[in-house]
Amino acid sequence: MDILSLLLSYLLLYKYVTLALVVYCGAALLPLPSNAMLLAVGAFSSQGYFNFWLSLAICVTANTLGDLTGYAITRHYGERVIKKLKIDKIRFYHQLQEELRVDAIVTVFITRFAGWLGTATNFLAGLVKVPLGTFLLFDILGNFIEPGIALALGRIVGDYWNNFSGIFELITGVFAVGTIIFILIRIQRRIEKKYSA
Amino acid sequence: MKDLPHRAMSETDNNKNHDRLIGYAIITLGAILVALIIFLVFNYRGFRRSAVNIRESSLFAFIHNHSPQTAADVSYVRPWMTFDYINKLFNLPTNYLQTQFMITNSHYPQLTVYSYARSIHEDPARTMSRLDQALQSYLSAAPSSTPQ
Repeated sequence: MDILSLLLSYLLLYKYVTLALVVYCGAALLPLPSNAMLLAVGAFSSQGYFNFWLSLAICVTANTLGDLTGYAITRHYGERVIKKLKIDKIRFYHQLQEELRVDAIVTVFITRFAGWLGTATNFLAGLVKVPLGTFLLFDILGNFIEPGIALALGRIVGDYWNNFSGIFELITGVFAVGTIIFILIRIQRRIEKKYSA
Repeated sequence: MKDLPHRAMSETDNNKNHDRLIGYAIITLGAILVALIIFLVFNYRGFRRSAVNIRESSLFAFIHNHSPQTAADVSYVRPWMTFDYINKLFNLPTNYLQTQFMITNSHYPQLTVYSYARSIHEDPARTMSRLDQALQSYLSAAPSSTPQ
């Protein structure tokens, strides 16, 4: 049995508890196939086995809590690790910190749609001390849209959800690449502006 | 005044250091991008396979009524599904599969087909084929799938 089949078994057995745990762990750190599972939950909701709105509410809550866990870990312990590794002595680190803080809103929101990049951003956001309110607001907004799309797609396609999980992963991957390029271009432009001034 | 050449030198060193670090960062990000592109190429194959599957199943088929299923949909049953879910999906009476398979496990219907197969030391593929037959015979006898 592969990991997705195992998760789906637990999903059918323990329903919303499994949904919350998988989404939370997927958002916090573990590389779990959350999107494929959300498509399945959407399909189950079309068959009356799950409640669509309750599933969405659980997804948003669990996702946000998972993201906050990553954010809190680096916010509290990140500085100590950075100092221990003497990364704070590097000028580039401070520049990167500054750039990320300026781009926080755009980065946090966009990376919600970029799979694993979202998890990496949570850690970075905690490290560069993005204000909690800003992080939470754009995190919840992104977390509402992304699982909403997966659940709705699963609900529309029903039994054929499995055919779409590959497409969904592909879109997420394209988004991740696009986001990295977008952020790099923004940083480069800002650096260019600084040097020319 | 004495410090000036020294300061200028350390600034040059700093700039060199800075450029080198930017270089490392760009190399790292480039490596991430290459890894992502490889990932996308592999997914592209999956995507093409999915597109073929969708075409084969036809646009109408996947927007049709999702539940209850008919005898034609028996192939969608998977080992990870629970008996409870299968009962609901095909609108079966709760004890139909329990009687057919003579299941004594107290967890039924909250039991996956895979766990059931393992518990009776049977190959899951064999259990699936028996399940297939049981569903086909029930659904062909009661096409409207009305639970009794």
